[in-house]
Amino acid sequence: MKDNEKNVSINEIKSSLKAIEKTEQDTIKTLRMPIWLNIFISGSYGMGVFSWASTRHDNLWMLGVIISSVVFFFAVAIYMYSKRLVGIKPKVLPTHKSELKFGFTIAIFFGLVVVLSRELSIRELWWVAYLGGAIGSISLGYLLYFFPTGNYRAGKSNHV
Amino acid sequence: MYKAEFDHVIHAPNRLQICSILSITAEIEFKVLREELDLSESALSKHLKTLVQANYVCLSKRTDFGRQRTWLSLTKEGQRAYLNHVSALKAIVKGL
Repeated sequence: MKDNEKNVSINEIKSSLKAIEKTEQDTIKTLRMPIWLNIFISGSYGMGVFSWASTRHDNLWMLGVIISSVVFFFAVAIYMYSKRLVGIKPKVLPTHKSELKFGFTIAIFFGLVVVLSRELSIRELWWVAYLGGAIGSISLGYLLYFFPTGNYRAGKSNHV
Repeated sequence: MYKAEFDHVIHAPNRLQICSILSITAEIEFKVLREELDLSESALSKHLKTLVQANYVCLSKRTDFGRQRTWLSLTKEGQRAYLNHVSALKAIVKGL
C-alpha cells in the first residue's frame, strides 16, 4: 500500500465504497433483461434439460432438445442485440479471477444437473427429468435476474 | 485476493464510478455512461482523458447502425488497478 492513502479520510473511503455499490446496483438494473425474456431463456433451457433427459431411441424428445435450443439461442441473441442497441454490452466471458471462479462454479452446477437428470432418468427414475428441468430453469432464471453481469460480488450486493 | 493498492487516478468520485461501471460490463457507449453518471459531456471527457492517459480505459470509435458511436471499456491494466484500489479501500476500512 502506498503512503498517500493517509491523506484520504475514513469517511471518504466509506462513502466511496457505498458509491461503488450503488453504481453496481444501478448498472445491474440497466443490464437486467425484461421478465418475459428471462422466462423465455430459462424456460427453454429447462425444457432442453428435460427433453434431453427424456430422450430415448423410441421417442421424439430429441425434437424438444432441438426446438428448445433454437428458442434459447434466439432469445439470448435478442438480449445481446437489444443491449447493444441501447449502448451497453454485457460481459460474455470472464475478465478476472473472481468472475472466472463464479462462472466455473455455475458451469459445473449446470453440467451436473444435465448429466444427473439424464443418467438417473435412464435408470427408471423418470421423475428426475422433470426435477432436472425445473432446477435448471429456476436456477438460470435466478442467475439472470440477480447476476446479469456475471460478477458474484456485484450481484450479491444487489440482494441487499 | 487482489493486491491492495491505493490509486489516486481512480479514487476521484466520478472516475471511481466510471471504473465501477466499466468493470462489470464489456463495453458501454459514451452517451449511456454520461446519462448513468449524470455528468456533462465535457466533464466526462475530462475524466476519461485522465483514465486513457493512465492506460486504464480504452476508447474505440465505431460506426454501428449507421451512426458513429464511442465505446468505452476497461483495459486489463485498468481492471487490475480498479480491483486493487477497491481491495485497498476495503482493507483500510477493515483495519479500523
